[in-house]
Amino acid sequence: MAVADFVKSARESFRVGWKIESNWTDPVLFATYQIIRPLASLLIVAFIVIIGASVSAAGSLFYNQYLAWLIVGTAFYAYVLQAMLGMSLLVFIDRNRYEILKNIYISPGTLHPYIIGRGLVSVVNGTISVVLTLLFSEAIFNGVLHMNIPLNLLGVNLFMLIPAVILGIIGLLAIGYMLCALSIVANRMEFILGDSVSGIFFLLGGVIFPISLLPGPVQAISNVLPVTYFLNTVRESFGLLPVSNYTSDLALLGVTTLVALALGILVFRGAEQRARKLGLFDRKSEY
Amino acid sequence: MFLGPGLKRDLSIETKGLRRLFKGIPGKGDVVALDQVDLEVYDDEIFGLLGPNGAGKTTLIKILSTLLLPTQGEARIKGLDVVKQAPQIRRMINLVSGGETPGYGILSVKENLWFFSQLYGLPRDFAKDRITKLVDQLELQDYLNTRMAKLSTGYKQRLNLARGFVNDPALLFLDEPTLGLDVISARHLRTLVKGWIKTGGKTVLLTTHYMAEADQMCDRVGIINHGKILACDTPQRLKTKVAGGATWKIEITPNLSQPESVKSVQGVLGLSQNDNIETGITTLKLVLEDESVMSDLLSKIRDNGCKVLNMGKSEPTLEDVYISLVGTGLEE
Repeated sequence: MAVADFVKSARESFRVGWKIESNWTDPVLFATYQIIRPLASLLIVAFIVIIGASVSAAGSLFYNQYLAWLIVGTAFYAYVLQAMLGMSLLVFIDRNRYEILKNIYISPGTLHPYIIGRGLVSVVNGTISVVLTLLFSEAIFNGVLHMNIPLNLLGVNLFMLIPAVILGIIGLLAIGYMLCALSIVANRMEFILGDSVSGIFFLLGGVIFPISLLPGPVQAISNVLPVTYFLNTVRESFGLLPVSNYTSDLALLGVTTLVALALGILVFRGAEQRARKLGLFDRKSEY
Repeated sequence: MFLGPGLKRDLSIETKGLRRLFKGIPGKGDVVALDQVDLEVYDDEIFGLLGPNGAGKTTLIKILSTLLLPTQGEARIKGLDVVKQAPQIRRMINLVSGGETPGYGILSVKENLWFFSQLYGLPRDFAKDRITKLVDQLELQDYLNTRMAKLSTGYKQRLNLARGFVNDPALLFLDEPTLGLDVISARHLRTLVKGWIKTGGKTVLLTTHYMAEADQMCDRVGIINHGKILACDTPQRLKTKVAGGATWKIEITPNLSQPESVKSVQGVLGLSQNDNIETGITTLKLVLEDESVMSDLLSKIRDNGCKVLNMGKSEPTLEDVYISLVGTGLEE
């Protein structure tokens, strides 16, 4: 398929995906839905930390830095959540509910531009959540509660943040691509795939606590996840981790993203072959 | 249009020894969906595939449309192998399955068609013209901006058909396209397909349950049962083959309690029975080797406790061909 045609298909898939995800209700309710989940999880974690912390720790420099670290991690975790949940259910919904998967599959681009286009909808949703969560956090913790958390949104280094976010998104889309492939061939796993993978990333990716607190063998797993380096580089752009580590973390993010891409392509090819062998492109789950 | 043997035409579809097995119930062995299918379908032809449920029609279409791999044998579309050259094939084909309404309910008719036109990489202006033309042909103009979810079943099916034509494919697979359609929508489809095939360089592979539809639309018909192609020719030639025997229509009441006993009469090639619940009259269609079996046949009908109301010889139809080859009617 020519690149121009691929881009056209992906763009149209994005447009359709956006309509499906945003047009089901009125704009206010949609915006509320977009913000409520990430903000709720952030506030839950943050208030557990605030209430659980000792009185002596509260207000200390370390304590406030940790809260900022936590807020940025939880905010950017929205990308992970959106990509994993959105992309893992994509195949299931379009195969079962809309009965459209097989018709997309036999179009010239098969499922590739469609998955990328639809995946980018998750990215846009994720971006909205990230921005709103950061703004609300600033307003609540610094504006209302006067906690002086070192969360300087205007001071973020965009030259560091943008490459980190772009690479991180590519890595997440590659993992989402794998989940799409798995849900083509998996039976009755559609609803747990996205939750399980995003849950693993929440636990092992350094979202709410540093991975150095994990047991050694588990840390080894964290060290091969793109999410770990994505969150590290993002925090470094906010000045919440030593900036000197940025280059090596970005390089590791690039390497793990490349590995995820290669794995994604391999898994997708295998799943596609299996689906053609078993006739799964129009299979309906029996529930 | 079938030119007959001897005149060389370009092949649109070719299968050789095509076989497809599916995993069966444990301990029962594999299910043979297609068994050594050899088929040739030419350019500019509407080819019909007739067969009962589970005969292998949809499996064949799924293999040819690159959705499913064959277990054995070869299948080619315009000379391209369906296993190894699927990407090239996908540019030339489209598929419409009856009884399904693929599309996003939240999107309008226009948006759904536009989405598919872009999946096929159609240039903007060409896509717009194509959609306008299809919408006119299928009389969807008034629903252009209506969400698909709000359309009636018939209009959803029309949209499904428009989607199938959107890329102006060289080869269109229509898998029971009029299933569940009202008479008017079905007529629209037939007109559309017959008009479209005349534009040249097109081929349609159609599966249907409706004999009259196959008879009216198809240049050639293949009859398939238990995964095997039993006969393949023009509807007229198939009917001529049966005309060598005798086709009879017998009205009885009540219906046959043991149809197998009638079928087993020596010289009966096939039997189908249609019950009219309102009148209580059952119409038997019989294909016989010759008329000498008639007395045995009538006595068997009486043994079933039935009274013969009316009987007469009939012109052979495609249904008679089907009955003589498969042994029963398509509805049974």
